[in-house]
Amino acid sequence: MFPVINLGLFSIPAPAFILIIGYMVGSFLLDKKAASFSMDSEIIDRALWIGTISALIGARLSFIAGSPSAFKGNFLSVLSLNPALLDPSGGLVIGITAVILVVTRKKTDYWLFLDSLTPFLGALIPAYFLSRFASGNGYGFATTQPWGIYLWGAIRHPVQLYLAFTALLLLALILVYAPIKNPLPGSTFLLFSAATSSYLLFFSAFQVPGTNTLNGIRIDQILYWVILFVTLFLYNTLIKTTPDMVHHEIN
Amino acid sequence: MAILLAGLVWIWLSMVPEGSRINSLEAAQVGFFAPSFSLTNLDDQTIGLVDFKDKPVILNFWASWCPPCKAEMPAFQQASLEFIDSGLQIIAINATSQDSTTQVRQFVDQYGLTFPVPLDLTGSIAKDYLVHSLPTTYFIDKNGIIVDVIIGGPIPLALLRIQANQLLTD
Repeated sequence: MFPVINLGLFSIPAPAFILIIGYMVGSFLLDKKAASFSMDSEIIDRALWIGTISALIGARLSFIAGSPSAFKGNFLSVLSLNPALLDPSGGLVIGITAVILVVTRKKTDYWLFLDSLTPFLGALIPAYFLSRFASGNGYGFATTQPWGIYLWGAIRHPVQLYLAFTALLLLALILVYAPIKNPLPGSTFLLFSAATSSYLLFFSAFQVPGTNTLNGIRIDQILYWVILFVTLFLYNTLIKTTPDMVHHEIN
Repeated sequence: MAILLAGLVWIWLSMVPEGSRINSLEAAQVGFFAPSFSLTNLDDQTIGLVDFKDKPVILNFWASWCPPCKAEMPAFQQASLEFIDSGLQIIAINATSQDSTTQVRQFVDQYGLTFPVPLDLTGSIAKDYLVHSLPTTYFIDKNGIIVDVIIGGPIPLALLRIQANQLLTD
């Protein structure tokens, strides 16, 4: 766990720093791979920037909307640089909406856009897990396995590292194999989403749950299963409805 | 189909036993009991976390030379005044191992702080709380469990109000 990187007079929050590195690497890979997905990198860059800025503004507005009375007589707090005044889920919804608007306006194929976004997501997701490792959040159950790490008073499963390494492996596969042979628009993104939800479903079993359980069942696992179901359903629908392609139905 | 079925079986197998979420350990992390401490203040009075048992606590680590600490302290004082009657306690532990008691006294007078300001003379409490940078603030519920941590600052008054209301509602 290393929440802060101290460089002389400066204290850099390590989780945020790792996320920014992941974002930059993702943007680089996205530009590099855009052409191979027959996508104009300028459109995807613009969509990403507008989406990111909208997400940040949206996250702040959503946070304020959640507790407007807290800002009474203290309206300058709205402009605070403190990231704790952000609502991530609200920001995500607004950011995705902004990206959809840009893609629609540019008359870009949604599936092609999502395919070319995959390398970006492939780099951002391992960065997210590494940032969780840096902050010490999302820690695992106690274990006697030799690779356990000492954290929060016990030897624990390094779940964040399991997730980060698997996500990096998936990124390597994307870089080597994407776009796949005989590509159907959307197949790269759907297979990536299915793989991501699968390993999240598997490894979250080793994580100490927060309060998100229902009669002992982890709500996050249910969510990952639903994503897996939807992505596999869409993939199978895609290959069934597209003629003249090599069909590999997933069972 | 096989993948989806395997997923459902795995969800069933990884069900969480009742009580497994409750950590009986003390650690400076959300979900754990806040590490206990006993320190003296500028008037040599002993102040400990145990003195505020059954009360939600906002625990701030600060130093007089730290600019964001200076920037956020008026908000802490204001929040203390607003929530003291509701039972919320603000404690501002000074990292005295990196500060001086003279500077601390001047700071407390300058900002008119009315909440407890214990002095961490050896730095051992900052070590227990894994304070890597100042300011760092812990939000502790009435059961003594850490529910949120904010590293860095300044924390605006609005955020303190939101956190205080959440602590008092839980």
